[in-house]
Amino acid sequence: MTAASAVYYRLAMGLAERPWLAALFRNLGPFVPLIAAWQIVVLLRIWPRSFLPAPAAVPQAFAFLVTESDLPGQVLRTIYRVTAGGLAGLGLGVLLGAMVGTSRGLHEALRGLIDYLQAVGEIGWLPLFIIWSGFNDRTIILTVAYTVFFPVFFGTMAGILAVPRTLANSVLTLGGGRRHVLWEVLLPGALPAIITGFRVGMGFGWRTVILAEMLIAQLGLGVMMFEARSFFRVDWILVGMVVAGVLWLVTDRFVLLPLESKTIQRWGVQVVER
Amino acid sequence: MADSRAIHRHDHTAREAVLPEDAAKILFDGVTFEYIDAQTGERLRAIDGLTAQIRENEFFCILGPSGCGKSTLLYLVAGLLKPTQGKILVGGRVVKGPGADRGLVFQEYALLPWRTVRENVALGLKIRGVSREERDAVARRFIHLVGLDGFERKYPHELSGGMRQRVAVARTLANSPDVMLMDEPFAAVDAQTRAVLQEELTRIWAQSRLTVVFVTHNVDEAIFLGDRVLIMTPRPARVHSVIPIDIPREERSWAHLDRDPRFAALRGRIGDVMRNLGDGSASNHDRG
Repeated sequence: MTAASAVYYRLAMGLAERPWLAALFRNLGPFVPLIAAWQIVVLLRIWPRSFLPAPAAVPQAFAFLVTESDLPGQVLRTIYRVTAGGLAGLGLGVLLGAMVGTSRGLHEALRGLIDYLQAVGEIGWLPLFIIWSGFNDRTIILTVAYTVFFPVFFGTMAGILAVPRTLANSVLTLGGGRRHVLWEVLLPGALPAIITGFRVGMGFGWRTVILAEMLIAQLGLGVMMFEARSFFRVDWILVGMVVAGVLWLVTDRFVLLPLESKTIQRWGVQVVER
Repeated sequence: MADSRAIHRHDHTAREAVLPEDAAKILFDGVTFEYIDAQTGERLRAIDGLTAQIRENEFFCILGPSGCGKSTLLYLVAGLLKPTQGKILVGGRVVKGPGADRGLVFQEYALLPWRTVRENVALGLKIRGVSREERDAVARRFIHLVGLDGFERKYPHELSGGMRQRVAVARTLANSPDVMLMDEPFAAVDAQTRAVLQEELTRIWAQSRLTVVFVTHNVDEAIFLGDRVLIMTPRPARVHSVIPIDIPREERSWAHLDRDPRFAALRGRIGDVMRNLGDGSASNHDRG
């Protein structure tokens, strides 16, 4: 009892001194009951072990895949694809979003088409992309780019439309032209919305890259997970799920979210506590 | 309809009577502005054949009831809006669009939230392609002029309303315009700050070769600041009258003016006009 309370005390003190550690615990908190429930289900032997291995089997399988198979190489390939596709989607989304956001004519002309293309979705295009581009990285990158494009496009457009008109007017009365209005006012003004769009898009992009790899690639996290199915290695599939989820969480929490908060803060908008 | 024809005839005679065009720094020549109301789709006339002239280096106040089209008039001079009829000449040239020669200080500051005070003040110079060192030097000078030394690296949201408006004034001045247009710039700050800003603006203007056009709905502010005050009618706006303010500049401080009989007389006279024009909000004892 005293030992337990001493541990608790030291833990609490440690957390108070290190806010990032406290944040880590807060974020990991919900995983504890989830894993516990999983362990209980396994102990109750509702399904055979081969259907649902114990939680402890996952780190074991992870160690095996890292040492005996080329898991890091597969993951790097996936990261490359999702990054390349994400950046392409970001570039295209900002470009078209800025064009549609600054021109009423283009807005009216393209809005319906873009809504339609979003509804079709990257999975609907995938067979066509394969025919056009083949079973290769380019097809996967294209599919991810398609996914990331829409949230970035809508973020850019909405962000630009939300910039107060007087800011553009102030640049005009200082002697600026349309180019200055775009670079000094509209794009910086839309930046928080663009980053939010990119965050949402990359969240979708991670799902897309795994799926596209399952259907197209010979290498990659999605491939590893899909192949494990034919060997009935549920533990390998679980490793893939954990790795994909953790990679996304790390990217989001340590890169995208701080970037978003920073722009929103600097831009003078009230930061909402998350 | 007959009424509006009569006004045009009146404008024509008024135009005959004005000085040659090059004698005025700013000339409103029968300016009419109409726009389509976004909600009703109706065609509305905000300004109706307005003719007036503003001299070089003059501090010219435009006074009128709220919503009478005062801001529209400034936007027309700035070139952000185009007159439906008539023309505006600045320095003898017809206004065709916005330009750096006519700086505009907006009521809501219009500073870039993602730029520091220094970057905001230097914005016009940056647009013109001036080098970073020179920009910084000029910005520092104008930040000093408006009394904001030490705030160079702050962002607008870290400043009070009065400080933001100082930054906006510094930004306009740093761009060295011929004409500074000011759209109720002190309407959103508290009374004390406003009095200080009014005195500082007069000081800055006296040191410069600027022509200032200052729009306000506040009688005291117009008398305190202006060489002349143009009173506008309610919509559609026309010139009601132009009143010279004959109080010498050196006697214009708030400490003295409150007891000055000339100030009281002007305030009474202009206040009466404003009340007859139907603006209940014009108050004699309100500086803002």
